[in-house]
Amino acid sequence: MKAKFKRSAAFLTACLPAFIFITWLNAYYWLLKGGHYQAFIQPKLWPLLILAMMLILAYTAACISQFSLKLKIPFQIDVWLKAATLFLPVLFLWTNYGQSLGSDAFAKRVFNSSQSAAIQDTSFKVLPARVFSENSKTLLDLILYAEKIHGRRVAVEGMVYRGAKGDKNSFKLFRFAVVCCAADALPFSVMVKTATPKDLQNDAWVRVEGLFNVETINDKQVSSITADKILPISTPPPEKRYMFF
Amino acid sequence: MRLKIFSLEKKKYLTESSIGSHDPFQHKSSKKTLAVQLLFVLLVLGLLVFFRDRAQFHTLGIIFVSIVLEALPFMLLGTLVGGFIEVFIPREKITRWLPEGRWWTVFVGAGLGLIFPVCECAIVPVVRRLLQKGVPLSAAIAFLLGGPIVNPLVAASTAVAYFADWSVVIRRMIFGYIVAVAVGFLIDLIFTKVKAIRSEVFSAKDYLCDAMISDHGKPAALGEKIGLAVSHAAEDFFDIGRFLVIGAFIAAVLQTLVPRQLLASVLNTPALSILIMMLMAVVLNLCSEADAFVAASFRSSLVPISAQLAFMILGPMLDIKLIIMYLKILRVRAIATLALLTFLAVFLSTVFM
Repeated sequence: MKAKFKRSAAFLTACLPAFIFITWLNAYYWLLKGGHYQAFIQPKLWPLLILAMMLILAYTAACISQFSLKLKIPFQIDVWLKAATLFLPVLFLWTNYGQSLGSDAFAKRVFNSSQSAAIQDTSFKVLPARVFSENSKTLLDLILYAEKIHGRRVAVEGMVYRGAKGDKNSFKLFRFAVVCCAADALPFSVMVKTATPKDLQNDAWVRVEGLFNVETINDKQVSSITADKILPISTPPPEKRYMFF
Repeated sequence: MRLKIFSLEKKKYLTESSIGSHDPFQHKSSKKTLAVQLLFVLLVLGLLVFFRDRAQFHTLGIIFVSIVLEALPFMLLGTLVGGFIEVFIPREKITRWLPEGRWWTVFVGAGLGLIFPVCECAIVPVVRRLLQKGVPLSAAIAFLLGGPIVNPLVAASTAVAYFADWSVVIRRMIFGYIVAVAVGFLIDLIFTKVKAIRSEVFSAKDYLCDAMISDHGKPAALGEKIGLAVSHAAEDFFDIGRFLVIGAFIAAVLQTLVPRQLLASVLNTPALSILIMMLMAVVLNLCSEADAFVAASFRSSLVPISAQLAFMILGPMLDIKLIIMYLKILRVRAIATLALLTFLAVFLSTVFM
């Protein structure tokens, strides 16, 4: 009985590396298949995922080719812990998919109230692949081309941040812009001046229409929209929630 | 005793003694490491079970998964490069190119990133293999620190982020190189190889090239060698990958809990801003190919260029994920010394800019 248990434990231990590689293969396939990876990393990085998938495929084949050798090795808790640790990101991937960075991350990442407008002076305006369009404007366009858009009527979509005080006459409309992955996501926001409905909660997705302004307050540029229409919209799919450079 | 037991496809190549060199089941952890790892897995699973509905947990999960997804391809590539070094480059060649006890090897080591443009996630498995092959300590440390900065990909990303401001690119490369050389030298002065490097790195001896002989006493074919290199890579990844996961998780926790506004108030003071930006580099754990974009965003907050450079030089050399990964090759005392020296060297090199 003991010998049988030992054999089974050794067999399972031998299977573990291949099992982990196959799990990761499955995860990468899932990420690439529906473009799900855009909920976590920049769309332009898809070749990296293909590369990772190919390497994992090769590693899986290597593991399977050595299977008979590993069967000779007894059960080891160390191997199980390595496998468990490598499995954790996949577990988080599947349990966290559908979520995105929200007001909690916004509050932690924003540097100052004027970041939204001041950012236009930074190198972000020179980052490639963002073509200014007169017809369609994202929150990022408002920040990057603030001077061009100043005084014009705009319609943009984003998430609501009301802050701790929950001001009745304004809120921040924000979104995150990603360079490589969500870990480097930068918050971009504009102040929305309007009578804010009480039921407008943090993280709610809205479409704001109104007049866009850039003004200087205490030597800092602050961009704002004097809104005349705020429409709740359905939350976009996780792949569409971030803006990408 | 050289009993042949391992078969890859139809032929047999390896002796029993060589199996230890590429079997992850032989990379046994100490009891302390096992306990820490068990605690980590239980803690993470506990968080997942009890806090999964909280907003902060969602932020944590997204950042954690993002860091791992972004870093994993580079780590896989690093282990593959390590596997190929193991099989294709004999120890004699490496020791001829980078001989032990020669002062100039540290300069070569710090610039190896120009030939092997690997980022910080890929470099640990490569350095581990190089150390096994007999690369001097100073050169290995210089490559470990300089490789993720002094390389063409990082130069390109820095140039894009700073709108082809070549003074920033050149200063990043030069100061990265100088810091890597300086710390490589100092570590070599303070430690012997045995005192700095974990014994496990050397316990897996390099018999493979000797063992690459077929049944008929002939060298193995190219295809067979590639197969073995991939086997090495797979097992290295299975062994080292956990350090990336643990480091990424700790980084994600810090990113989730520490408000950046706390740091903003002191960012306009030159020396203090350098220190704060260096701390941020350690905490944020950004890829060396992406960190320039984040550093460039600080221009709007009037952060001095010296502090932005400190952020870009220290990050690829020393962050939480890397410190955890260094545990796979360096002893704790060596890591502490390396961290202190690197931190000081980066601070001193940028504060007088």
